[in-house]
Amino acid sequence: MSLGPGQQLLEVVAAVILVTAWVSLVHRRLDALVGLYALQSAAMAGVAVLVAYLYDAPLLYLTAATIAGLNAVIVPRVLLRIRRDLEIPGEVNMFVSVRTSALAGLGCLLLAELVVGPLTPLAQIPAAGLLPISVTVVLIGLFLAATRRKAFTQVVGMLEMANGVFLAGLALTFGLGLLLELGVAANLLILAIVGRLFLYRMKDSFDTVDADTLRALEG
Amino acid sequence: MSGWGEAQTAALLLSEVLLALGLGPLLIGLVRRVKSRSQRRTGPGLLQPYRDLAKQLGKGTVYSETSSGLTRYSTWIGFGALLAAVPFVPWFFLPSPIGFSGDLIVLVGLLALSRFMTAVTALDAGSTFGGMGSTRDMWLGALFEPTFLLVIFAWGAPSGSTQASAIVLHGASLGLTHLSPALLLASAAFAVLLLAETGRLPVDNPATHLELTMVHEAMVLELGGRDLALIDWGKSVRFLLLLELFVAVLLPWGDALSLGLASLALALGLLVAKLFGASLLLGNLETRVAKWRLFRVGDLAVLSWVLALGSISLTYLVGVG
Amino acid sequence: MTDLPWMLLVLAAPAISALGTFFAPGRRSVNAIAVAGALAGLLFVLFLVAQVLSVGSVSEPYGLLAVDALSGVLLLLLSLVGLAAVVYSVDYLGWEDSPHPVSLDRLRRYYVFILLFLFTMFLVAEANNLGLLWIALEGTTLVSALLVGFYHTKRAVEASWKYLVLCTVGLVFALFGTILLYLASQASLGPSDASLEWTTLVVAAPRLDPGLVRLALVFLFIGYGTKAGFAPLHTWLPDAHSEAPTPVSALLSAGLLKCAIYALLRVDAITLRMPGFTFGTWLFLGFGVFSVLLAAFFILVQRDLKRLLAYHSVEHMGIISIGIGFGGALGLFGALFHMINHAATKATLFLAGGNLAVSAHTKDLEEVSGALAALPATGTVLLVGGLALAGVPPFSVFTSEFLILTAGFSGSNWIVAVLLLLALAIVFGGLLLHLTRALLGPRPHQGFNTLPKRYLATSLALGLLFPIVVGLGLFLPTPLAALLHQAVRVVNG
Repeated sequence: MSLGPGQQLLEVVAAVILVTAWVSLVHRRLDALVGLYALQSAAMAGVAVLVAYLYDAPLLYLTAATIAGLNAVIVPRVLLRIRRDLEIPGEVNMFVSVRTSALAGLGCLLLAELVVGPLTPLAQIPAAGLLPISVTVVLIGLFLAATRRKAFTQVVGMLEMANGVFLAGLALTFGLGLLLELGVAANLLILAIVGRLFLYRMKDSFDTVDADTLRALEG
Repeated sequence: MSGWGEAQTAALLLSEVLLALGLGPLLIGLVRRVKSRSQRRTGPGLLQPYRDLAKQLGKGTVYSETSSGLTRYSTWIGFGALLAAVPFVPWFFLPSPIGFSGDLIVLVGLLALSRFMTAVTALDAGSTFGGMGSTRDMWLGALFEPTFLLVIFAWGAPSGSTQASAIVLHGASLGLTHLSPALLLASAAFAVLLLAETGRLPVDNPATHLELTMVHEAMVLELGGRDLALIDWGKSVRFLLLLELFVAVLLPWGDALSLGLASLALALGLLVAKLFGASLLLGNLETRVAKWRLFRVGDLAVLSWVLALGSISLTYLVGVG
Repeated sequence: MTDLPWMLLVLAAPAISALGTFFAPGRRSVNAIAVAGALAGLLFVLFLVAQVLSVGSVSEPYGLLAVDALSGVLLLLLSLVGLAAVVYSVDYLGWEDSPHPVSLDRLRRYYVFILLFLFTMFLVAEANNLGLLWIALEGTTLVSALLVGFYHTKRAVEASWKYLVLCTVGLVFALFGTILLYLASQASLGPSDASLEWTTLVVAAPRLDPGLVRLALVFLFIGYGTKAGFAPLHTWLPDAHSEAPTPVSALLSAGLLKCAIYALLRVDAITLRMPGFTFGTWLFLGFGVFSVLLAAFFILVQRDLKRLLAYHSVEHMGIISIGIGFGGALGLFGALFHMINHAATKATLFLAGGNLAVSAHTKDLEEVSGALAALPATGTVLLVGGLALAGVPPFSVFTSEFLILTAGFSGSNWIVAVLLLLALAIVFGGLLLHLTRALLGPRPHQGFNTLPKRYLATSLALGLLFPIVVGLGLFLPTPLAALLHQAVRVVNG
């Protein structure tokens, strides 16, 4: 199915999101990771604007504004501030090497393509090429959260996963309806607040926010 | 094959080479200017690279006692290889006058040849730093050249050709739909590779004075006069070639398809504008990043390789290209 | 009476009482408002269930909420366990020699959280829109993470962080699955009629694309399965259960896990209506068998009372999942019945175990011994409850396990049934070992205090649940049987 330039552009912006996810797999600075997340969220806002324009869904402009304000500006700022407040060292500590991570990123893409590629009804959905990309971003976020030692990096990984899901939700289904979107956004906001609370509490109890020190409970 | 007459071909080739020789140092100057401005320094003027070249060309040459005399030829061969590579990059008119199928692969080979010649020159002088720099540079070549080929295949996938002008013409004919996720991934891979191939930050610091961290600069420590000028000039041409290849494939619009004066002027203007834009971006990027430890450069190589392979997989596995 | 909006009142009861406890002036009023809210919740649920039994299903005009017999089953067990947990908390947090004394301010916060927890779980049960279902389940994670970390000990912080991270990651997967399901409905119904409403999807199920639904199911199972404690996604569960305040552990095990499996059951109901689509069944069976076997071995080596009970929850979620996987009227009936039985039994054990832990000052099973002699009442409840949990007849857990096994052996999946039987045998042995050691052994020299002075509320809470543990195995009330049968039809179609 041939795509109009708008939908093609949508896929290109989605690819920007994919590239930021990949780059965040090879970066070793926490601040850079946060910056990449901000960039990724800005691209998400771009996706929302494009979808709103292409499919004439004016409410999505509101979503775009929310993403641009919250995910691209406020959340990264709060994250950087938390890092400063908790005196988290700026290095990303990982369980696997950077090169393995990068290869795993490629593996995520291939997996997503193999799983999503053969789905037949996708031919009827505009911009279906976004689906493998968003699956990949979700998987990469999961990988990031799972293979990095610091609780802080786990948070960034989860945020990237959420971006991957939003990508599918926005670009393929044009949003789930205003009420549900507000619900999801509110949930994520509360999640951020609760997560922040626990990070501070962890600092209080353990003097570090290294998820690696959480070893008391096993078996 | 190209559709240009013989005289036209000669004139176009000549113009390409002259353009590359003339514009290369200017871009280097521009990047330096951007960096100095964003670091709140006055910095040298835009034309400083030309002055440096003129100064070096006016000097005599001195060779190390251990030199075998190879240096007398190797710098010329390296420079010549770069000049020979010029027509394989799409410039401001299409199709290329001597293009043939697979010419981008020849480009990779010629760039590798010039790299080899520089390394040989550095070894010939017999100094420690020269040996160190050439080892590092060949290592970088081994890391990034395979990816270069992958990127070429990824770029060539939509048009089914690895000929530069075919890729650009195909892209231009698609209009805006030329932009695709696969193209973006391949271009991102190339952008990383460009930094390594042209010795920019964070792979190599072109402005460093610390010998231990040098790659390219360590190789030319022993050179002076005409040889240094040839290597420096060649390096600026190399930078220009890769940058032009990047912008030509990413933004393939606006090349002249005939020899009309207006279209040629417009294409030339666009070319310069694209290159200047890319240089500005690069200068900005360089002020933001610090040099990475040499062993981390391998991470960049893997990233670049992964991006290129991802692009190819997008095209062939799900047809998103 | 039946035309009152019970559906909304059920949601309002915990929400309003949460607000009330927030502004209540003293300990007494905080306790009173919280208990009143939970009690009102149970009463409204009973009226709602009566309404559902007479008219079939209730919904509101916007399609966001709907209550049928399946939601009725979940609401019933949630409100029951919820009331028991809140009542138990009155004593548990009030005991002066409790290991963690609680100020009035924190008491308020505790009740606000626990009532909001109830609210979000009720919302899960009543959600008709699968998006709303997701929102409600994520809500339960957030509130309960705060409850798990209520004591600011190192271990509690660790447990709640793990819980929050794992379940949130899981729920992001579930959101993705939900979106894929929406995509499937879009692909087959067209963009204008596409919907996430369960009632719509069930009707449209035969037209959905199997490929997309399969992909959606993978994400939904990983997502909600994490929350339901399916092995190998269960790693948060023992930590959270053991470090949370005891009433919260009871609510997590008895309520929250059921909410997650309920979400999967809703999805299953859709896929069961797709011709020739058995992927969901296999996922239920696979996760179920794996959970049951893995939990069985962890139960054998467990020393901590609450962790032991937590691994038991993994095992029983596996049993329920296998029951759903066997399907058919018998398997589903067994699974739903088991949900109720396990909830009541597990909550009883957690609460009685809480008594024991407070009195013995430890949760370590090696150190507790002779509990039956030291605490006759609590000990008896623990003994009977433990036997019931192990599946000894004539208790209710035995009945539902028997139903599920029967469904397995009568169907084609006898291998799964054999594996289940094997795991049940291992668990039986393990549990018996732990119980005899802790309850019957010689009385230790020092250690046991008598229970604190005030134990009226804890006794009431246990008195509410214990009869269900014992009674439902012998006698199934007609309305409950009718509700269960109706719920089976909701799933099976």
